[in-house]
Amino acid sequence: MSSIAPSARLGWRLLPAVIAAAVAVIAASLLIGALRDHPILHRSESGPAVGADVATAALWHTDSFPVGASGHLSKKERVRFDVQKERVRVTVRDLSDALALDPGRMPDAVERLVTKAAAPALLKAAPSMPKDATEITAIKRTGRIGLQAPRFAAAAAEVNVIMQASFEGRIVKWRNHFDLWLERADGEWRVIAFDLDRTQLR
Amino acid sequence: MIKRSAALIAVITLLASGMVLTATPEAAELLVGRVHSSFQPTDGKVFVLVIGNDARSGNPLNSRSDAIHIVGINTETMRGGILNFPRDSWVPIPGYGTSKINEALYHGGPDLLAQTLENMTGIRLDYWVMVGFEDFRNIIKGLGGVKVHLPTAVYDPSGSGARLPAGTHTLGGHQSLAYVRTRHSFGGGDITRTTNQAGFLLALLKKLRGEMQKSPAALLRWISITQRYARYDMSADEMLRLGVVASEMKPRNMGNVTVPVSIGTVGAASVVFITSSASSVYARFRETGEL
Repeated sequence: MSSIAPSARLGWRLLPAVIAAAVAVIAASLLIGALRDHPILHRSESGPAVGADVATAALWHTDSFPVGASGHLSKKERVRFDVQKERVRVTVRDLSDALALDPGRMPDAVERLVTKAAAPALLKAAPSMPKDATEITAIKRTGRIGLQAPRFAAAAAEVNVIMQASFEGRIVKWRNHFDLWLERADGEWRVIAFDLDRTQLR
Repeated sequence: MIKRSAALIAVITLLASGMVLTATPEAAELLVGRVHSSFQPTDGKVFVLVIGNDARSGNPLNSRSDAIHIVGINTETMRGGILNFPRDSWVPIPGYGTSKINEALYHGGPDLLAQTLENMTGIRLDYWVMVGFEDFRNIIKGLGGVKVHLPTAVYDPSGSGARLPAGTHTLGGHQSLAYVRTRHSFGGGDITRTTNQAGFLLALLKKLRGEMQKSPAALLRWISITQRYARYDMSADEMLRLGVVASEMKPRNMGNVTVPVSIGTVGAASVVFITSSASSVYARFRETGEL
């Protein structure tokens, strides 16, 4: 009895340390595991600017809607909206494709579609393609575009491009989410501000 | 000894796991995060004069300013502040001697009020935005109300008409106006009122950010409502850019400061005198755009 008691006490005294050690080991393995699950999207990637396979990219689904109208649009306003929504749609798709699928096209797209003030920041922020990934393609491309009524000279777009690639023998997916604010000047739509977000999907 | 050993084991384990993590380059730089960008004013700061006039409805000419705030944003640090001026501040008005600051609007409109403030503070105001009572009500109604937290009850039935218990409320147009107008509900009178008005602006900012997280097009709706009811001296694209910048600001990174004043009288009129310590507040705000 007396020989057992000290051992039991010793066990209880060691218990917090054992728990702490176990928790630490579990936390470390979880973190390392998480990192292994998310290995491909790094801002610091400096691999070649390979593009995705645009030919196999999913079709775009875009819807446009007027924002800020005090009532129903008049016939004239409706016509203006229809004209401008097509122009914004082209701009948004063009820039989003360059951002998500074809980094090599970014300088040209930015020069055409982004204001001079916002261009350097966008070029700097644009995500690169995952290094060593193959068979990169977009499996979903969607956009929701609001145009400010009644002048339709300002617009905001919310874009989601879901990408898929093969990486070290497995399929990985990630979502590009872009918020773009655009203005029309001299008949041309240009992005004046943006918010880019990229998340790896499970 | 055993305790020490146990602690040592735990520390070594933690350190070991940390070393593994730090040795993995991915740990330091995970996913591509959110990146914000928008236009940058040439000197990295933008100042907007926000005016609430006392015109009940219609033409605000010949009205006085009940709310006077300079909103500053530093677009490099994405911090800012709201500097509030009690309407009874006794100040020199260019061309009109010394008077209450709210007289500047009556004598020369927003431009004279801006000039008065620029002379006092040394801050170059880039834009002004002005609303009257009805404009303000319509804007808040159009936005669907604003959530505010009231630490104490606000009760001013014979003044602004505010009757609000303490707590968090979503105020509609009428209630919002009653809240930002009341000065009888507080011991600090007009000084507390002007601070509350700035707090209300921050509540608006919080609402804008919340809506923009759901849809970037929310900004366009806010701009449309503002353009419909407010008077302002900026172009549509400038308003869009300012809106984008504003939406990037976290309310907690915006200071809310009322100029330091002492209460006094001039003749029969009760006024407040801006104290000399205000100069350091002006200097900081002017240099950094932050409070």
